[in-house]
Amino acid sequence: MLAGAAASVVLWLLAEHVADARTANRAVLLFCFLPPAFVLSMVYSEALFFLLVGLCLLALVRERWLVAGVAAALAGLVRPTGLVLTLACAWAAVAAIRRHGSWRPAIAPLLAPAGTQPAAGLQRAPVRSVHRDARGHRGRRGLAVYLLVRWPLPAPVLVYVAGTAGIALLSSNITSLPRYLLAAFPVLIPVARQLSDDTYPIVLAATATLMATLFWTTSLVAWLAP
Amino acid sequence: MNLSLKRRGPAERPRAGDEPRPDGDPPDGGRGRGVRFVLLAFGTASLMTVAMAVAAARVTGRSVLGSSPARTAAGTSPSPSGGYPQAVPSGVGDQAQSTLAFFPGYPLLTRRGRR
Repeated sequence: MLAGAAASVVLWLLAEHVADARTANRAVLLFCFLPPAFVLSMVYSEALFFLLVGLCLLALVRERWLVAGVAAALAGLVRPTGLVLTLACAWAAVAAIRRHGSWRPAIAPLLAPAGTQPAAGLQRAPVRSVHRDARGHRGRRGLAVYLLVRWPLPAPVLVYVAGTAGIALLSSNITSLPRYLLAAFPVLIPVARQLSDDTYPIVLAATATLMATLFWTTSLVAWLAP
Repeated sequence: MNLSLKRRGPAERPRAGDEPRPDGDPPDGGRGRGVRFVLLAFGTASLMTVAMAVAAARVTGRSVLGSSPARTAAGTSPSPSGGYPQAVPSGVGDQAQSTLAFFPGYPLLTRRGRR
């Protein structure tokens, strides 16, 4: 639960940096009350993973390369999809190297895969399993492309969102698509910014109701199941 | 600063990953208020989750700690305490793959946090 609260704070800081405080408030409310967001209050790996992802992306947009690399490495140690952060770090580093002419930004993409590699040694073929998962459900690709075109984000954040949403949407072997899509939480920043003042409260009320209903249903099923 | 969401066009949308933000960081007071707002929002969402768990427990007449979500919420799920399975399960294809959890850093941290 502490990691979930910290992840929410980091999302607020990221949204505030990318947009403004008002958008940050809106994005955090959506994040906390999304239907699958009840996992943030439970002992699942999501909260810790989101915290590290948020720290990495915030460090990238603030050009704190060492922090970004360490956070990405730790995220890879928590979940294998943290490997996507390596691409985000590489994208941001190349842009920064071109802009400043210094090689210091390269430290982020060099450190980023350090967590996934030792983790791969503890279990068998995690990267291969992600690759194999990505074969199915072609019909979801259109949705992924639409999301990327419709809602522009800072380049490193966009790379992470595209990679994470792509893995979730194209996978044929996941048990809960909304829960995995929650990892693309930075997409809530442009959503919060583009929703009108009239629409936003309705969307927030709907997501909060759905979250309560989903957790209620999950609890009942778990209790009533043999 | 234009706070209108409707009027902001694509050309005005910042792409902060490419260039540093021009107007700099907000005052510390604004950031402190933001953090308090976030903690209030997250706390409300968490309380709502707990309330739903308690309500579901009353409906079914069972203990709050009796369900799988409640067990994990209470930190008593087997993964943090016992770790993930040591052996690759029998079977082939997706079935065998989906039975493997792969969050090696997570049980280590939660186990240490519970001590």
